[in-house]
Amino acid sequence: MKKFLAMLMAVAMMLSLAACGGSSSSTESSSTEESTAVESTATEESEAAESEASEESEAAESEESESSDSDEVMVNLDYSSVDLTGYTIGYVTINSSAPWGGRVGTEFEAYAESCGATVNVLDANTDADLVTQYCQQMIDNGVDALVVFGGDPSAMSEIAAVAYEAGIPLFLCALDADSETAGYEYVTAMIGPDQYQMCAGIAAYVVEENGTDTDYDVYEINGVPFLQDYIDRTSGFETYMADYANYTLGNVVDAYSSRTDAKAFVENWITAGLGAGDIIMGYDDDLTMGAVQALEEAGLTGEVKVYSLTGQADAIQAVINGQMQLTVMNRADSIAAGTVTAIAEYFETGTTARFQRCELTFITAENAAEYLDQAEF
Amino acid sequence: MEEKVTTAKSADRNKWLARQLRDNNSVLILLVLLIVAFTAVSGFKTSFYQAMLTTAEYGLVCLGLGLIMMTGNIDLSLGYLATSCGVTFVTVFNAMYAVTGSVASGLVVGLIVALLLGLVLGAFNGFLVTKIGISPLIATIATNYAFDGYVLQFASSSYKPTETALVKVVGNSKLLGIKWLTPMTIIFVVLIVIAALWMYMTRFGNSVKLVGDNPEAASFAGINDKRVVFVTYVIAGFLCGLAGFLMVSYTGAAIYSQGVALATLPVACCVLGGVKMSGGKGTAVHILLGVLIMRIISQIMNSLYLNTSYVNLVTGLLLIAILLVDRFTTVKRAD
Repeated sequence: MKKFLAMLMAVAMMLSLAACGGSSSSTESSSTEESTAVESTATEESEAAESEASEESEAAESEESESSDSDEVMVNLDYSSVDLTGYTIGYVTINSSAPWGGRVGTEFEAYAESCGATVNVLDANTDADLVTQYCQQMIDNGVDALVVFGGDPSAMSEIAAVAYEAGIPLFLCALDADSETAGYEYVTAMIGPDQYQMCAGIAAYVVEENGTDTDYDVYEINGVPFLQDYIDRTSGFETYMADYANYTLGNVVDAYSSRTDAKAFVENWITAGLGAGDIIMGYDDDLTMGAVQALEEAGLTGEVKVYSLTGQADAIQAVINGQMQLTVMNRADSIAAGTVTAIAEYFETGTTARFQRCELTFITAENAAEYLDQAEF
Repeated sequence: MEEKVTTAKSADRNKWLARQLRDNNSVLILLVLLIVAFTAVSGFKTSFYQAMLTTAEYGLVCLGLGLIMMTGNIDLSLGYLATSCGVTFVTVFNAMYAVTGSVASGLVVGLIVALLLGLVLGAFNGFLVTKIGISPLIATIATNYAFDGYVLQFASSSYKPTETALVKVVGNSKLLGIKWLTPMTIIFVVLIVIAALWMYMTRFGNSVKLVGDNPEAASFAGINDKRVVFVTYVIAGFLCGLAGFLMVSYTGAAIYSQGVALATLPVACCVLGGVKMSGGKGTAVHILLGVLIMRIISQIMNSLYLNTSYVNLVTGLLLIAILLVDRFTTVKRAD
């Protein structure tokens, strides 16, 4: 009996590992392709990135990515003349407790209601399965449009088809259903930054600032590891950095939504050897500020370079103080306003652009002061 | 004399009624919830089917845990155990489909491997508890971490079969045009019936509650209590293997957060239904009632657009109320 069980376990493990190998190789090849595309757009600042991209890499990008088709526009932020009176909009969020994600939801609700819409909100508390159940709830209740913030594109694909069949337009906020994901064709519009490209852009900034000669250890503070926006962020950064051998990655922690945990992780790293000349990449300012605090207490401010994103006020202040090198402002209100105008355009014309991107602002010591009062939280 | 006999009979009847009410308060709670939901909550009627489907989706994990709880033990790893089996099913399915190009063979082999993995992991939990003697709480918290890591490794958020049409048949085919009547719900109900009959009609099934109620007495009665506990862990593992497959079939993917959702939900469902944490009390039907109560509360909240925090708040308060009732009635009975 014991031998039989052992054999069963071995067979199960072999099958799992065999399948795993296939899966990871396909991911690698896709990542390599993506990195080619990333090189074209990621430079010092996102706006500059677009203008400085080489012809060669532009061609690679157009071949590789469907998202670069003519259906990609900048969001329309002017919702002042929008009238959504009589429409009911369902808003399902993966998590409203994180500062940035919560802000997108509250701003969207406020803007849409100011335009006359009724907004019904459900929060799935980081459960991607619940997102689909809540979407089904909204569809059953006959909302006129369905907006989903965050979540998981794969898990969303089934419910996207259901919404499509029910004739309900589906808008994804801060979540790209890429061309590899079934259900892409059922999504009306995807609004927000391309998280992958954004972090590839940060990686490009890091490389440009620190060069390709000196060796660096890069420490990464991730957020909630199973949420798609964090997956895209880490993937964008790491894929780009993988081409530069002088940057050693591998120290990654998941701090979820806890600044305290992020601080503790960095304290552990400092004990284990993190020091002058190293780099920290935080995937959310709220977490990165924990790192900034730990570095300050250890007397390493300025010795360790810190890069981050979301553009919250204390992070911008930290850039001004020389405690951080960079944060990227990724405005929640732009996504909220852009979603309202996209919905209105769809109701009016029956169509709207598939990808609607928000402007990203790279905030460094040179321009931080002018953005300090523009921080949303 | 006749009057005394009548009074005694009446007192016995009242005691019986009180006991039934205490032991089956989940029936009452469910009835009240259904009446409130159908009469006072707009939108519930149209989305009631979702409560039924999610009951079947999560129900087998709860059934497995309920059996373990009836022996006076606990398993906090079953959520991730089920998700591990779901992830493994997808992995094997994708591998088979890639090699053979056959969806059916991927489905069959994937399901078999998922069920076997459930059995093995359940047996591992049972081994830690009964053979090594580790506290079930600690042992299954430890394995929960291990299963969590395994799932996260493969399904960093969700992990989808490369071909979903046939995989989704069990979880999504509507029979007789009824939204909630799917092969998944039928499988769940059939297994509840089998479990109920097994516990009622077989010696081994009877011994599950006896071991939970009084292990020493069970031992004196010639029952190998450790073996009974071990078997409940193995059965729970098997049920979780099936649940993992059903979750993939229903949602179309193995989703990491299902493990999170199922971390404590099954415990709450079992307690709400009337399964006692200390063991010795409860039936498969109680577990069914508990899951239904939980999902209907959740569906009422969804219909009212109240968020998960409210669902958790209401569920927590309801659990406290039930535990208080149980506590005081038990003390009174002991007195």
